[in-house]
Order: sequence, then structure tokens, then C-alpha cells
Amino acid sequence: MGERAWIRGARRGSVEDLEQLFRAHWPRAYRAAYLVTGDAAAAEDIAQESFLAAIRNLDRFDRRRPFGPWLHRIVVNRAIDYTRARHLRAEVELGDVHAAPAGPEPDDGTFERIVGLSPEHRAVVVLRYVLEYTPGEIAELLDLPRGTVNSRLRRGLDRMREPE
Amino acid sequence: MTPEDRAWEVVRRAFEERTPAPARGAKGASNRLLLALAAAGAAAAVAVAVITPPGHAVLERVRRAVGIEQAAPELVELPARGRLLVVSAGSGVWVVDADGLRRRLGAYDDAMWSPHGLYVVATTPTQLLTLQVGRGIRWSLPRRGASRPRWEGTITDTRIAYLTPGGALRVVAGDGTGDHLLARRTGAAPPAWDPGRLHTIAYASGGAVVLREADTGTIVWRAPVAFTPTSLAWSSDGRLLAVVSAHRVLVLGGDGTVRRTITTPAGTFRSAAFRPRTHELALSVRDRSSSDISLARADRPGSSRVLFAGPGTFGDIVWAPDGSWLLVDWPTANQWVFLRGGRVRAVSNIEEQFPRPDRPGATLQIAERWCCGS
Repeated sequence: MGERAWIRGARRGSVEDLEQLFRAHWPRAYRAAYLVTGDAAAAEDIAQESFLAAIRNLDRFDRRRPFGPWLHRIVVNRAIDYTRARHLRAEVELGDVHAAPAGPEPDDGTFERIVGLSPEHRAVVVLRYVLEYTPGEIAELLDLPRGTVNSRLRRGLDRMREPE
Repeated sequence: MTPEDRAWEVVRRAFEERTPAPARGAKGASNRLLLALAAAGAAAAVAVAVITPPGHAVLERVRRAVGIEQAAPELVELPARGRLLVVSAGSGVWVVDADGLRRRLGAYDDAMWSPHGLYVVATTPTQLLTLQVGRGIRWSLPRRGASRPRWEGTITDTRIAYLTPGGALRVVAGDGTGDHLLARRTGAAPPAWDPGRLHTIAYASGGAVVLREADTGTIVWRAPVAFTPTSLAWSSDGRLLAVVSAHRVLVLGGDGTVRRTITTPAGTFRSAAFRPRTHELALSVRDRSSSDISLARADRPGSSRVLFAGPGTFGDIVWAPDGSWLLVDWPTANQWVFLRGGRVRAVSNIEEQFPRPDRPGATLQIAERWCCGS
């Protein structure tokens, strides 16, 4: 069975089909959220909430289209919102004593370089080089002009190449 | 449990609570479908009741519950003293007096009583505010997306906790001053003030339940839990805290140690509420086609008994302030059911009295909102 069949089954109420859909898409959704937020606990919540949002709207989903981009759009936009909000709150936080659980961190230094970018640049870099969307698809996912996507990609990569 | 498994549990639960979108057509058609489903569910529930040990009691109550036509057509009184807040995403917040008088407070997203029921804290998409019923707003703070407000304290010194869209827990004094961040990230379960310690609150965060002093930020204790809590419920003496998840209820002592674990052989826990001034815990469990309410003595294992069962889904549950009656929202039947021992009172047409949002699976919020016997 493929993705379309899982979506069809889930819309009819099949938990088994929903689980297939969830398991197929969770790793990339979680990874994308983690790379944009840099926070494993937040990534878990964001990916989870994104699935919940997707399920709430499953009946309106055009099942001729792939599920992944639809989900990733929700994930990445929420991750950007979270990251912006966290920056805004940073100076008034009392601080929490709990360490975040270990995340799915790339081991080649890429992660540190990605989290050094602004949320907007992070999002396009993750979508392009981790989730492998084309610039045109990213423009559609984030409701951005294609030129903006290209310039953010260029600047993002430039900053990642800068010596620390 | 991995993040993926934790998330799947939550997603699966949400999915099971979701009802299929109504077929194209009028609302009446979907209502007919709902009634048909309810009837099918009732048959299943009765069949189950016959073959299980507590069958006779359940069967009797199911039969009585299915007698929907015997329910009162309108809520004309609450069976116990106090006032009830009803939060409907479709029509805002309502106050119901003991004599059945129903008043709409306004188009708020959420609302909760102050500790003595004198005031209400409410949220809008852009504000956290407090108000006095019939007298208007006392103060407001601009807070975008504030949610889950909870108010505690003495008659002269109170605190209000609330969550931000990013899951941060913030606390403000009852007069609107001293707003500050207490915890950067909390889980989906609303925070719960400890009734045994002033200005001390429990919340879920990072695989644990944390008890923390709101003014100083001092952590009193931290109890690891191996699941994602969906709600927290204190006994009124502050000696027990029920940590509810889909498949397990962990009962912690006031010192954070585990006192008891309650599991369900089938279905998922929806909610839990301690009966005031006791350690009896009402538990709402949703199975594939039916739901039931059982009462467990949290400090006496094996004492659980089924109070009520019915087809479809139960929503929130709430005890009367004196612990005499338990109110169960039953959206599948469009009813409220009041339970006291073996007595059952039902009120129909709840949706007409408190309009719900026009979307599948929408429920009213009444939990923790029946306040104060004055």
C-alpha cells in the first residue's frame, strides 16, 4: 500500500493506515523541526502538533498531492514561529533546569552552522539541503517569491562557510 | 519510549477522538448519522456489559442512560450548590447558577474561577483578563495566545498561572501585577496548583512532573514519568496528584513519590477528577465505541467500580463543590448526565443551550469549573 491508500484509509477512520502515514513521515518532520529550532524537546512538540493539525484537516487534504510537502509546510512555519518567539522571550526567562534530551544531531558540524543562521535562513537551508526540496517547491511551501528563496539560500550558505 | 512513539500515542488518541467529517449536506443529516452511531454503540456497550463481571450494574445504567427521552429537555437547575462555568469554542463562556440561570459572559476562549468564585480569569486571542460576573472587567494584560489560566490562593493573596503559545508557563498576581515566566517549556497538560501549598504549582515538562514555587522558582520536587501526561489532578487536601496519560494514571503523593498506578485493560483515559474532600478518583475511559466513568479509591487498590457507561464519547467531567454529584458531558448524546451513587439525572439539548463549534469532535470545557458552594 502506498501513501494515497494510507490517506484514504485514515480518512475512513483506519488507525493502522494513519500509523503507516505517521511512521513514514515522522523522522523527516522531526528532523526538520529540530534543525530549525535547535531544540529537541521543542522539535518533538512541533512535529507532534503539526501531525495533529494535519489530521484535523485530513478531510480537506487533496489526496492527489503528496502528503510530505503539506506536512513540512506546517512543521517549518511552526518551527520558525517558535524560534522567533523564543528570541523575543529570551531576556525575561528565569531559565529551566531541565536539559533537553539528545536530538538527532548531524555529527559533521553542520548542525552548529545551521543553528547560527536566522530562523528564516535556517528554514530554507533545511528544506533545500536536508529535505531536498527544489527552490520552486520551497517558494510554494513558505509562500515566498522564488527570488527570496534563492537569495536566502545563497546568504545562508555564505554564512555557513564563514570561518568562526 | 522514543519521541516518535510518544508522539504517535498522542496523535493516535487525537485521531480516535476525531469523528469522520459529516457527509455533504445539512446538519440534520449529520445528526441522524450521530444518532445511528449512538444506537449502534449502545448495542455494543450492552453486549459488553452482559459478558463482563460488573455487567449487571453497567447494563442497568446503560439502559437508563439510553432512555434519552426521559432526560429533562432543558437545564433548569444544578443538583448541588455552586456555579458552573461552561466554555464553548462556538459561543464563548457561560455562567450557570444553581437555579439554572444561564448568562453568557462573553466571547472568551477560556475561563476559570478565582479560588473563592468571586472573579473569573479569561483569555481572548490577545488578552489575559479578570472580571466579576455582572460587573465587567477588572484588569487585562495584552498577552497574545494566553491559554489554560488557573487561579489559586487565599482570599487576599492569589496567583494566576497561564500558558503561552510556545508552551511557557507564566504567573501573575491576582491584581495583575508581577507577571513573570516560571518555566520555559511545559507539556500539553494544563498546570495544576497544589491545594496543600500556597503559590506552588505542578506542571509536566521534559519527561517529568515538576512541583515548583511560583514566586521564587524553587523546585520542590521533580518526578520522572515515562509517558506524556494529558492532565494533572490534585486531591483537595494536596496529598495526592493524579498524572493522567492515555494508558496509565500515575498517582503521586504530595512529596512526588509514586503511590499507585492505575491502568485500563482496554481503551484510553480521557480525564480524571478527585472527588472533593476524598481520595476517590473519577476516571473517564474511552473505548472503541463506548465510554465509561469509574470511581477508584486512589489509596486502596482494587476498589474501582463503574458508575456509568454509554455509547460514543464522554467529554469533560466535573464534581460539584460538595462532592455530591458528578457531571459528565456526553456530546454523542447531546446530553449532560449528573451521577450520584446509583442515581442518574440527564439533561438533553445541551448543544442548543451552549452552542458548540461547528466542527467534528468539538466538546465543551467544564472540568474544574463548578465552583464554590455559596
